[in-house]
Amino acid sequence: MESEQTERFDFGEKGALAGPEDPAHAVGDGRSGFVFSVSGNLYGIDLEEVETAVGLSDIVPLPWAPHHVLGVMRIRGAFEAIVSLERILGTETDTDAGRAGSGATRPRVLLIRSGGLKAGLLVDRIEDVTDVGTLGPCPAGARGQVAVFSRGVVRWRDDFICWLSAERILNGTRVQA
Amino acid sequence: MAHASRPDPAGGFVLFTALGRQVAIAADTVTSIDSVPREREGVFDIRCEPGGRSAADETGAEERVVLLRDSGLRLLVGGPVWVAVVGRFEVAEIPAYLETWADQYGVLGLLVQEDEDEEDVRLIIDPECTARAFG
Repeated sequence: MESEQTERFDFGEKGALAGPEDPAHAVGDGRSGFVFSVSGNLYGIDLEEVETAVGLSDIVPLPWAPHHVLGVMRIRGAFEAIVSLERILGTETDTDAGRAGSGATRPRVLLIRSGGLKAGLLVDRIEDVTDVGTLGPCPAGARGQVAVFSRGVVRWRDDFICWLSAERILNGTRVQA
Repeated sequence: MAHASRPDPAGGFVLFTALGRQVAIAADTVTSIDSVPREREGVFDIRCEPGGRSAADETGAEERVVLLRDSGLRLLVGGPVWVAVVGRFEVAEIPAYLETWADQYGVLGLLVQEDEDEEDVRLIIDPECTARAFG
């Protein structure tokens, strides 16, 4: 149901929150974005790289699809690819396999976009939409492909979290000819 | 494989089970829909994904052999098999992110049928491309 699906995170085409400008956006070189969790791991992504965040509905599986592609789901009238971040980052464990948000209390799909491409990231929970500090480099020995698909790390509350790049995810994971 | 044009819903679709799921093909690609012959040499069994079922497996009462118009290929498909000409359905595009995958495997789009409050979504496939994928 559209009214249930599209929550308060519907940003439209420009990806900007409606409402008055937040003064914090203009200060320093911090960034604003979503903080979300997947299998107990925290990640973030720039606000402008997220077109919308919706609730999870039926995913139509696809034959012969790449391992990280869970299927397609209708979002705002169009079908979009839904992908597993754990499989992209190579952080999936045996207990995570096939989980696809099924054990999460509030699974969501973040529709990310870059250069005409879009895909929905299935996440367990959106933790925050906020400003964060400046980016630092990914630590040496980061798990799986985390460093490949991230811009670096930022501090959020008492944690340092991986800050992802929609461009790297979309261009790095789409099936090539 | 060149990207095929978007299927035209006006021509209708033949609906059946293939690759272990519900799919559709354009009705104008089909010459006939026949019962399954005892001798199945030359018939491509596309009921399941490759490796999912042996060609020697028994067939059910609803399964049929679809004869393709242009290639003359015969495809063994799962039932029920029916033709949708009228009704509330739309053809939706495969997202750009999956365009290359769709070209490789002959997925032309999505056929969406609305039934009260539910949507039935099927893959629209190029049957010849699918048959080739089975080798």
